[in-house]
Amino acid sequence: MSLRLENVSKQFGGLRAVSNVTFCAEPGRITGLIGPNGAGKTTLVNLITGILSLTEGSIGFGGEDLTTMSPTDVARRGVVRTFQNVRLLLDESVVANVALGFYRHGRSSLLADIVGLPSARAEIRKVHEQAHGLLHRFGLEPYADTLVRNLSYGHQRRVEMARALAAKPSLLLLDEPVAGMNDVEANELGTIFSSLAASGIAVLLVEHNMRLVSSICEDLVVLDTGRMIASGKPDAVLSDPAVVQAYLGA
Amino acid sequence: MMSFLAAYHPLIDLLLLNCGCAFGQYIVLRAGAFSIANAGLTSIGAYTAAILATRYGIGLGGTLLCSTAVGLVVAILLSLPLARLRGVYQAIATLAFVQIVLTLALYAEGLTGGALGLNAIPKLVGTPTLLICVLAVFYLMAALDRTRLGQAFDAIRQDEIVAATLGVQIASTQVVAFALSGAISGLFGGLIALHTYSIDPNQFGFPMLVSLLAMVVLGGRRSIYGPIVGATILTLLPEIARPLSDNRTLVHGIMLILIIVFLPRGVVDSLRGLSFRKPRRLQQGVASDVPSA
Repeated sequence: MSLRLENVSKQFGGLRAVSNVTFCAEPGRITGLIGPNGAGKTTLVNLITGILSLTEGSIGFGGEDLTTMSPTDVARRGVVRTFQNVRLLLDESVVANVALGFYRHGRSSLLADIVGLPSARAEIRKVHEQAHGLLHRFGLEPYADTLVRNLSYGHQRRVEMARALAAKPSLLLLDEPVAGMNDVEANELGTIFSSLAASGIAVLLVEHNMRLVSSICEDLVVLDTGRMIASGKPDAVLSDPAVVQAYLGA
Repeated sequence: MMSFLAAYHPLIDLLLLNCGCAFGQYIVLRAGAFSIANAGLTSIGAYTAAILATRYGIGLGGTLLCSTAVGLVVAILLSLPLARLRGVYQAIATLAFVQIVLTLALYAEGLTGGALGLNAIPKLVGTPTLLICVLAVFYLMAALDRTRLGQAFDAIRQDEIVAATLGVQIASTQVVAFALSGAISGLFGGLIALHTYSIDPNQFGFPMLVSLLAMVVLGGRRSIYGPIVGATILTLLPEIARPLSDNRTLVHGIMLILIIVFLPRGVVDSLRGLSFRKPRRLQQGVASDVPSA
């Protein structure tokens, strides 16, 4: 399922944070969304996920119109995100945070859960097994029972990504997922993102790490002061004079 | 043992009633709703039970069922406008709700007995009934821990945006929390009425509101043991420190401030935080922190 943005705009009072942005993010590919600080990248992610409402334009995903949907309804269509500033349940354990990602896939009824029917217990067991599988994938297994607030920033980022994968996304929006990580860690995560895209998920990657972006993204979209100034293949986009000027100045 | 129970059974009954009422407050706070409506919901349950028992002669099961149902329905109705509010605005709105309920109790004399309240309520409830009800509510709370609903409560309380972006229906989940809270408060309001011979509006005013809030904040809003620990401390403390019993509300207020400053997560949740084990890698003192993806 592909994500389509058409003439998306967002106005905050007198500030036009996003202006007439149009692009597609296709399944099985990583689309990079780049731009200087304040370009409107995170605002765009907030618009896609329904946290902010659009001023103009439309957003579609898999043939459905997300434009006026609530964040919950957007999430239930398989659109999952991570946050620029890590947002986790700090008073819960690592495994509980990841298990929360499976929330919308739960099938057992409230009554079955409360009574503790075998089917409900089996579902809980399955969720925990899958959560531990994701923790292993992200190298977090030793921290499974640790309170998230006691983890380092880098590990908290990984927990957030594991939680996003637990939600079994059709579209994954990653907002600066390798910020603060070294090259080795960034490459490890880049490999994971590529494998996710290869499995058929559409990935929209907001990132400042140009080495990572140019190595794993099939398409790039560049924003500057809310406007889309370039889009296309990474090599062509990164050598575009408008993009160079936006990053380096006149 | 029996002589101890005989000597202290009024205190034990009070403790059980407070535990039950504290669970009513706990469930909404756990779900991230800043509601302090429970004193009002408890009074509705109490007046329902008292009216049914004194005027219509309905027995224990019927009165408790009705007080629970009325508490539940009123809480659901209350939750609908509250869904549009957050934080301190929810608190103000629920405080207004309590004032409205108590004003109605005061002025609807024909129904509620007004300021004098309702008297000569048959005592249909003893320690065993209270214990059974507290255990039943405790089981329900413990069971919630393994449900998706409990998971949703914790997610909403800690980060509503994260909860929504993972597919949690915020409004309907909080309606369920209010419904559970209303049912528990209505039940224990009914138990108060059928245990204490008489009720009046002053029992369910600001002191009760502060006490319930203090019990949950003191004990902890996450763990199901929080309300029990909070209720136990705040019920027994005035008994242990007799000179303080006349200033119960003052003591609760001071304790609330101290807890918010020094133990913001409450006694049980703070201990729970300490009990979580350190990661194995840290225990082993391995310097490398680079995980293998």
